[in-house]
This record gives sequence, C-alpha cells and structure tokens, in this order.
Amino acid sequence: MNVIHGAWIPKNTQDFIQSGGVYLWVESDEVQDQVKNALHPQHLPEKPCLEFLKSDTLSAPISAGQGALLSLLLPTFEGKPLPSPELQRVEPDEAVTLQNWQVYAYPLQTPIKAINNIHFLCSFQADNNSRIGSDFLFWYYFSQSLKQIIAKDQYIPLLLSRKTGKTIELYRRWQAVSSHYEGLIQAAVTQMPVACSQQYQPESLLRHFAEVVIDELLSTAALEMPQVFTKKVQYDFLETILLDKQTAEPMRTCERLPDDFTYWQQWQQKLLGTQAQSSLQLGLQLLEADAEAIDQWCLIFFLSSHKDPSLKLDLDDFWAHKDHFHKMLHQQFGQSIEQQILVNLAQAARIYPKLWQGMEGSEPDVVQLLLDEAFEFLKESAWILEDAGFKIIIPAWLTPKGRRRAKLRLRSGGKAKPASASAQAYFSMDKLTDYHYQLAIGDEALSPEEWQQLVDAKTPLIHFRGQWMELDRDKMQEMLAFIQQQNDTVPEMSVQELLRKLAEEEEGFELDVHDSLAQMLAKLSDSSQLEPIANPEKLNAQLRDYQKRGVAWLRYLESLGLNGCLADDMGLGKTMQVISVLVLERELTQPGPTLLIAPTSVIGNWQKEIEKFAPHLTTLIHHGSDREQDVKSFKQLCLQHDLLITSYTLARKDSKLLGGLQWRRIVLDEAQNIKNPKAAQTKAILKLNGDSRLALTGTPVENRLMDLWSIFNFLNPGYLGKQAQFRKTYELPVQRDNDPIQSAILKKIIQPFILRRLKTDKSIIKDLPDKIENKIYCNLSKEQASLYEVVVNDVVAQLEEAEGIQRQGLMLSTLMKLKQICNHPMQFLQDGSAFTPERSHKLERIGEMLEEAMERDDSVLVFTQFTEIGEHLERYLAKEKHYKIHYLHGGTSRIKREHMISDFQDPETGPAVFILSLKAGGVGITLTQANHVFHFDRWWNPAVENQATDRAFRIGQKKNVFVHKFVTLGTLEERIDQMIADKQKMADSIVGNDESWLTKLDNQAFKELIALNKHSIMED
Amino acid sequence: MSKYAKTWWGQRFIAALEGFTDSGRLARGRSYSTDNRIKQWLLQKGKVDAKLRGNTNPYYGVYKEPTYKVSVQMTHLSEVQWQKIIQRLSQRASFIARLLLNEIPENIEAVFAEAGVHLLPKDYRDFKVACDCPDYEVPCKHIAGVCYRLAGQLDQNPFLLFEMRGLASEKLLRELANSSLGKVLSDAKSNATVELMPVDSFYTRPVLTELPQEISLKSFWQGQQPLPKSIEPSQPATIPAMLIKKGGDFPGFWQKQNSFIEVMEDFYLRMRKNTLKGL
Repeated sequence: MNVIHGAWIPKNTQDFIQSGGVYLWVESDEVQDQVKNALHPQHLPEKPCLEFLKSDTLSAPISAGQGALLSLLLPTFEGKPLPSPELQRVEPDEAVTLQNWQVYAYPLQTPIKAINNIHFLCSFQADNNSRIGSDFLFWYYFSQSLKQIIAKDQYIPLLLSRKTGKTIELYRRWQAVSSHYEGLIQAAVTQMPVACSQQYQPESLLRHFAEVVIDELLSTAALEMPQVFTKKVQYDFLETILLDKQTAEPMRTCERLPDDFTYWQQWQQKLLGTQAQSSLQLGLQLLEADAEAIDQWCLIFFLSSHKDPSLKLDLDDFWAHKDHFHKMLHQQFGQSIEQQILVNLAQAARIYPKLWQGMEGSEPDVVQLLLDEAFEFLKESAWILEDAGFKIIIPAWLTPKGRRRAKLRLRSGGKAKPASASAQAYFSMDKLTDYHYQLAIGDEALSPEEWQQLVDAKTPLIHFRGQWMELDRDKMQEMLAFIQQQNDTVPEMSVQELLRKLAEEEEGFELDVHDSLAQMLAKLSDSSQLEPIANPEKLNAQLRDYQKRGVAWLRYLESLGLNGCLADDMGLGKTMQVISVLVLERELTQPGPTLLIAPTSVIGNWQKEIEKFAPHLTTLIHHGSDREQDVKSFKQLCLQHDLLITSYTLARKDSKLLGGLQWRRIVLDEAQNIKNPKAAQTKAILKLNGDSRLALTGTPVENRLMDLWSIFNFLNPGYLGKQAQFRKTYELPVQRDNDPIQSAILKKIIQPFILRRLKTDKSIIKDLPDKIENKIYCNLSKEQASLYEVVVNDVVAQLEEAEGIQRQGLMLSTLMKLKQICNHPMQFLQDGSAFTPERSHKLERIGEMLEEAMERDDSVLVFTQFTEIGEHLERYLAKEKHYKIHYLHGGTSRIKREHMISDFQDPETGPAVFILSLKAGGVGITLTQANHVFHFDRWWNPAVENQATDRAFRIGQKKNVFVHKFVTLGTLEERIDQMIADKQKMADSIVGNDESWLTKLDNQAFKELIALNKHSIMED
Repeated sequence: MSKYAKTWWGQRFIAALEGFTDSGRLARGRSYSTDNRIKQWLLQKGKVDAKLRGNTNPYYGVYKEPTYKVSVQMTHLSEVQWQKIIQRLSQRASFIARLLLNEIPENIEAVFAEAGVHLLPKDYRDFKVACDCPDYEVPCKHIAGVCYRLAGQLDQNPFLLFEMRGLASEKLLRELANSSLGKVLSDAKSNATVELMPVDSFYTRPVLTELPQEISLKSFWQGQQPLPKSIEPSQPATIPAMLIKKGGDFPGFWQKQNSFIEVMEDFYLRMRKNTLKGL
C-alpha cells in the first residue's frame, strides 16, 4: 500500500520574489532494510514515483523532468523514519526525535484542482490501494477553502513597492482580502500539523502558500481575458493594473511614485480601509401588510453583529435611547457607531436605492413599500443584499422553506375515497395505474376554476386564505394544462418511478397525505410507523422491539414487490431478523426455498443459529467437494428444503446449478461482496432468479457510492440508472464537489430501500441491555480438522491407562492442545508457518468483523489466553489491515501500559484494537471506549470470563457493548459452551478460578466432549 | 457631452462652462488641461492660480513660448447662507451618508435652493476668471483648460466644490460638529491618508522557527484542532465585485467615460470563469 504525502516547499532563495510549490512524495509499506545516506528507506524513488503518480488511478499533473530530492523532517526511531500512521498503527515506547530524510518528490501543477482530484480518487474510488497522508489531508482542506475567496471575488490587485537604493520598483500581486480570509488563516493555524509546517512558523507558511497559489492562479486567469474585455480597458491605466504580464520583473522602476500609481494606492487604501471591519451588521426586516391594506408593507432597519447573530436592535430604538445604547455597544462596535450605521445604510442604498427614501430624516429607521415593491424586494433585492453581507429577515411563510407552494398532488384511485390506515391492508402495488392529479396549495386542494382565478390575478403576491403568498403564475398555468390533459388517460407508473419523481421534483409535486399511497411511503421511510410483528410462535427466542420493527419492514417491503437492504450495525441481529421472516412466512403457507449466499466464514454461524432458534426450518449447506452437482437432483433437493446456504465463490462456480430454479428469495449476507459490478461473481449473482431479493450489510455503503450502486443494481436494477450516469449525476457531485442538492436527492431516493439502525440510536439503546452477548460460530478448516483428529485419537488411547494426577494432567494438556488447534494450526504446530486466515476460519471471521467495526469508528477489545496468538494477531492486523493496535501482555512495562490505555481511551484518537489477556487485567484498567469485545478463545470458567471482563474493564458502564464469543462448531468448544449454557446443571460443579472442573468428568463423558463432528468441517 | 469629468457634479461643472462659450475654444481648451501645458498649479482656499504654456505665434510677433497666468475661482456664498445650508444638510441622514462615501447627493440643490442660492455653477456669473493671454474671448482656451482639470479634481474630492464656494474645510467640519449627524461626517473627514510602505518581499516570507528536540507522534501528524469534517461547496456571490464597489466608481486613474464598476464587475465575472481550469 502507498501513502501519498504532500508538502509545501518554499523556493530556496532570499530573492525578493520567493515562490514555492506543492510537492508530492510517496511512501510504501514494502520494507527496504538498508538506510543509505539520508534517503528515506520506504519512499518511492524517481521512476517508480513518477509511474505511480501518473498512473490512471491518479493521473496527477506532474512532469517527468521536474522532480527533485527534498529534505523533510520526519519522526525517527532507532535510526529509521517511522512509518506514517496510515501504514502502521503501533505506538513506539520511547519518544521520537525529528530528523531530516530525503525523499524524491514532484511538483504539482494547478495545485488546488489537482489536490481535490487526488483526494477524491483515493477516498472514494474502490480499487485504490493508496491512502492520503495526514499532511496531504491538511493541505486538501486548506487549499479547497480558498475556493470561496475566488467565488466571492474577495481579492484585489495589490500595489507593492520595493526600495532599491534611490529607486523604487513597483509590483502587482493578486491578494485575498476579507475578514473571511483572515478567519480561514487563523483556523488553519490551529489545524496545521508539524508535518506540514516543518521548521517554519505555521502562519507565515500558510500565508506564503495562499499568496503564491492565489497570485499564480489569478495572474494566469487574468491573462486569458478575451478581446471583448481587453478593449474596455485598452489605453487606460486599469489595463496595466489588471493585465500587466508580470514575470519576476517589476511593472515600473522610478524615483518617485508616478501619479497613476498614486491614484492606485489611494484607491487601494479605500478598499483596504473599509476592511477594518467592526462586526457591525446592518439588517432589514420586512413586515407584511394586512389583507385590507395591501400596499402598506414596510422595511425596518436594525443592527446586528457578525460575531453575535443573536443581536437585533431596531434603529428606532437606537435613536430613541442613543446614549444608553452607545455605552452598551461601545465594546462591540467602537465609538463611531453612527458613522458605521450611515455608511452601511449608504452601501445598502447603493444596491437598493429605495432605501434612500427612509433616510430623509436625521434618524432613519424604516421605509414604506407598496405591494409591488415588496414583491420585488422578496424576489431580488433581498437576496442581493443578503449576499452582500446585510441581514435579511422576512416572514417565515415567504422563505423557501416556509413557503406554501402550488403543487400537483397525486391521489390514487379514480375517486377521492378515504383510504383506511389499517396496517393489515397490505396490497400489491408495483404498478400504479389507478391514480389522478389534483391542484393544491399548501394543504388545500383547489378546483381548476379557483386555480385559474389565481393565475389571472394581477398582483404578484396574493393573500390566500389567511396568508400572503407568492405565486409562480407560469408554473401554475403549466400545472393546470397538465391536469386537463392528464385526467383522461394516466400512464402507468411504477412505485420506483414514483419515488424518484418525489425526490427529484420536490418543488412541484407531492402526494396527498391522506392517501394510502402516501402512508405506504411514510412507512417505508420511517419504520417506526409500521406495526411491529408479534414474536413468531415457532421462534426459540424473544425478539427485541427494534428487531420486530425490522421484520415488519422486511415483510412490508416484500409485500409491495420492492427489494431492500438491511444495514443494521454489527451485533444488532440481522441474522435473527431474517430467520424470523422465514419462520413467519411459513405460518400460513408453504413457500419455495430461499437462497442465502454468504462468505464461507459465516456459513457455520447461520446454520447454528437456525438450529438454535428455528430448528423446524430445513437447511441445506451447498459446500465442499461432496456437494450435489447434478442439475436435476439439485433442484429436487432444494425444493425439499426451506433454505439453501452457499458461498460467494460457489455462487460463481455453480451458477448453472443455482440458476436452475426460481427461488422464493435471494439473500446476500455481507452484500459488499458484490460491490464490484464487473466481477464474475457479481455477474453470476445478478443472473439468478428470485421472487424477492434482500441484501444484508454492516458496512456504511454511503462512503463509497459505487458500492451502493452495485448493491442497488442487484436489488432494484435500473432504479439508480446506468453506472456511468450515476457517476455523473451523483457520485462526482456528491463526493468530489460536495453538492448539497444532489446529496439530498440521492438520500431521498435510496431511503425507502435501506433500513439501518445504529447501536447509538436512541430508539435502539432502550431496547438493548448494557451488555449483549453474541456467539460466533465457525467451522474448522481441513488442516485443523486433521490435526484435531490426531490429538483426539491419541488421547483416547492413553486415557484408559492414566490415573489420578497423571490423568488430570493428560486431560488438561489435551484441552490446551485442542484449544490451540481451534485457534490456528500455526499455534499448535509451533513451526513458524504462516499465520493466515485461510488456515483458520476463526481468524478469517475476526478479520472481517474487525473491519466492519473499524469502518464504523468503533474501538474493540480482543481477549486471548495465548501470548502467541496475541503477538501474531497484533502483527497480522497491523501489517495486513493497518489498524491501530495495542497489545498488553505480562511483559508490558507500567509506563507503556498507562500510555496505551490513555491513548485508547482518548476519544480523539480514532478507532483502535486492544489485544489483551483476561489475566492481564487486575485493578485499574478502564477500557470503556470499546464498543465490541471479542473472545478469540474461551476461558471455560464463567466466573473468570464474565466477571473479569465486566469488573476489570468496566465494560458496559458507559455504553452498550457487544460481546462476541467465538465457538468452533463440531469441537469441544461447541460442547463446553453448551454445557456452560445449561447453567442449572453445572452451577455447582464449576468452582474455583480454573478449568479443572472439566477433569472431573468421567472418561466417557470426556471422550464425547472432545469428539470431532466431521460434518462441521468447512473447506474453502 | 463632456469627456473630462465622470461624476455628475464634475460634469455639471463642465456643462456650466460649455454653456457660455463656443465649442471651438472649448475643444482647444481640453488639450490645455494636461501636464504638458499646465506648468504650475496652485489651489488654495478654493482659488486656482496656474501657469500655462502658450503657443508661439509669429503672426502676432510671439517668437518664444509664452507662459500665461490663469486664475479661476467661483463666487462665494455668505457665511450666514452656509450656516443655514449645513444645518439643513446635517439633518438628513441620506446626505450625510452620501457625503461619507465622498459623493454629492443628487438632490443637494434642493437644500441650497431653500436658501435662495445654488451650489453648482449655472453660468458665467458664478465664475471669476482671469488670464493674461492675448485672446479677448472669455473663457479662453487656457481658462478652459484649467477648468477641465479642476472638474477632474472635483470628481475626486467633492468638498473642493464647497471650498470654491467659500466654505473652508475647517469651517465645514466645525459647523457640522454642531449636530450629532453632522458630527459623524466631521469625525470621518479627519482621517489622514497613508503612505505606500515598501516591502521586503513579494510574498509573506516563511519564517524559520525552533522545533522541540522531542515530539509526540500525535502532534507531528495532527494539529491542535481537528480538521473540519467536510467542505462547504463554494457558492459564487450574487453581486460580483462587492469589494470593489466599496471603493466607489471614480478611482483617480480611471480615465474612460463608462462606469469603472461595471468594467470591474465584468472582469470579476470573467475571472470566475477563467479560474475554473485551475480549480
């Protein structure tokens, strides 16, 4: 993986004009052992760096010949530069020093644009194995914030002079000027890391950056003025000011400031002088006229403050008690309050000349407006004034949000019949054919005649049923015409089309709220409006309230012929909800089989949960070399089962088999596995046939919109349009350009189809106990199974002969060995072989779950009894996944321990994984920042396991915590887990702090305990 | 239509001039308003005393380039009249506000009319002019030249008009200070102009600083405050060149007749387009 770093490098010169450039260098995680001279051992040198930056995934605007070696200060430890936090999240013990390291870097052209593009490509494009460093990220935020300066024209051509002996040289620089710009700089100073400021004083470097970048950008732009403009300034001094081609040479060299330049300087002073801003802000408030006296609107002048927007002082009050207010406001606005008021008024009047009329007296406070003038103000002048910095207050119902609008209202059914709101009235609606339109304003429906009257009225603002409102006559005329046309023949419209129309045409189109159609939509958007199901009779568990609502939502969606995505947080029980759906649908009918596609590592979990909670459901696992491969027999087999579970790999390999029948529904667990629409796996899955489709995922799909598109492509093909179109309409505007409108529309469009609850939702928290326990069932891999078998056979032979202490010892050591095998073959074999997820599904699964947690910014604890596991897990997670890891074990020094804990507990540091052993606890470790706890392997003494975790780590004290315990199916783990669960039987036998209670079992019971259930082995 | 003054009052000034002379002399007069011709210029207490370079004219026996002395002044209003006028001016916020922005309100003549006088010249009776050139016509081209230049200066400093009409600045400020509104204006007027300070470097120079020997990793990669969560999209301002507008429409260097602000608006709008490539 590569990390892209950005640095602002001032040119190494003390010349009058010292410019600079944005340089990119790349750090890779491939270790090179040797440190040569001062070259950074992990940076990409000249050619690889060029290749990488210019590759298609980045296309950075750099040129081959311009690269250079830079010397940068970087944190160094034991003679090597520390990897950036994006590559390795391990805190070193000792403090770090800063040392100079050399890296090869390329300067970036058009820096503001290029930085934005690179940020977008690295953050939001799926296939990028590159991250941006925190230094680059800082420059990203700062450089993009400068765009506002340009958009608001907050810059001027600044005249600069330089004394050289007896002469002066005159230069022009394009300079950002505004209190807004100053605010940006000050904020950035506090956000700037040392990585960026290096050995410079932060504010000076920031200003240098901003000034160089802005001047270069604007000088280039000014040179591109077309003739039609240059003619306007030709032969005038303004031409020199604006269009002089300055390239490191002064515009003029002279002994005395020439007249023209003097004028320039005076003008400049006026502009800069008015910048000495106090925070005084002038405001105008529009008061509406009564219905009887329609021409008596007025505009009241008032004072406010840029710094304290809550201040509102009407000018008539001010003039009436001048001295009092002078004293009060002196702090905020200084002495010259009247001057500021008058100047502000004059500037406002320049923009909106009507204001002069309010200034005829010596104490201006109000201006009267006629209806037409009020309308004009609302339409234009108010917004221009607001944009120019004046505060505008208008009656709420005239603001865009508060306005009552003229809309087309859709009602289903030919006649206006009141639909009952009964929740049982599910009806299929995938095509709307029976609907008609009405004309409506606000809540009221109007007849076409009334409508026509409004359209024909002369005044732009009308007083309609108690309120003033503005009418868009043309639009209303269009709507009228549309209605007259429409109500004869209505075209078919699918529910999806309807949803899109509602989201995209929010301005002029709505649903009748009393309509059953609207209610359907309301329920889709807000699951709390659905009546939750009753706990299914045949389910061996008590569903929580939110789960009941989730199931209701799933069933409702299906009843409407729509397909959705259940995206609840990890641990909230998506599996349980799906199982409930299966159980419920079998209460009255006998539907066909459901196909469930899941990652291999969770198949065992599904099977086990169904066994536990809904044993009457028949499940078939389609996996392994002995799976049914004949098309006909397969079909037969499937029809005899309620649920068929298979893996993503086999969904591709056996696509012909799976395509041979029409499934009742197709469920994708961990649906992010189809995020790549071009993958063969995805394509195969899209071809499958099912009455319904359901996607389950825990990862936040809205972070990568193309992933979202792919999932929707499975659920409701065509709803989000073609991929290229989606990218253009939504992905780029929302994620690269931060477009708020497209973002809002997209949210509306997808909302009915996604149900996501977070464990932090208020409505969920009250449903959850402080600590929620969750068993994660895994299968043994083939390698593990064979090792396991050998050990078991070995013991069984010896067990008969052993006695007393020897027997106890044998049993305990066997338990230990089997535990190790269930963890990972490498731990048992002690042969230094690879610690990889292919060899252990437990490792695979914890990797996946940690990924989900990290993506949601959740911190996590992982308990294990074995230091080898701790070490290897730490290494694996740090290297392969680049998570931030803390590993606390017996040998950890007290200082380091405290450091780790405080870092983990600090909410600012981002999500981390804390690995530790149950025994390492003791008093004084508080790890309440964790949301999830994983027990990689178990300590089979409930007292130790639970009490130690709760008390020692105070889990669950501050927030809900999910405790996940791994149980390997078909092994002793499963059986002991069952024993412990049957507490009544065991309560007396389990005493003390260890697992010796297990040695009290007789030989037969012990053999049964450790026996291997061969059916539970999962090959990959 | 005059070409040498841009503000409405500057133009009125010129119009009055044009009112009582023929266009030929006037045209020549324009060319006499330049640095080339005006060798000395003394403007004191509302009176201009200038020395202009004349032409050789062998026909009249003028063989060397002569220098002509020109003086231009306007008739004064009486103290009593000024007092009344200022009192009225300082009761209308609109006037004071316009004057704060260095502009003369369009309807100012109404106030002068109430006192039975007028501010801007209507005809030759408002002027007292003299020139020692042989041309017998009044105004000659030399006087016209001085007036054109004067009109340009009036653009920059409308209070000059008050001075020419007999109201010295100090007196104006004193009178204004009598009313609270007027005081606002007089306070504002007493601000001086600043010199152009030379700079050491074109851009703000990055300054070196001492870094601590040891540092925590955290403070190396992160600033004291967290970075913002997202970036607000930049909305272009509805009114272009807001900043420039605050500087008024008549900067001293602008010689053309059309509105400076309009040209600048055009410029800024085009800049928004041109910078898109780099943004």
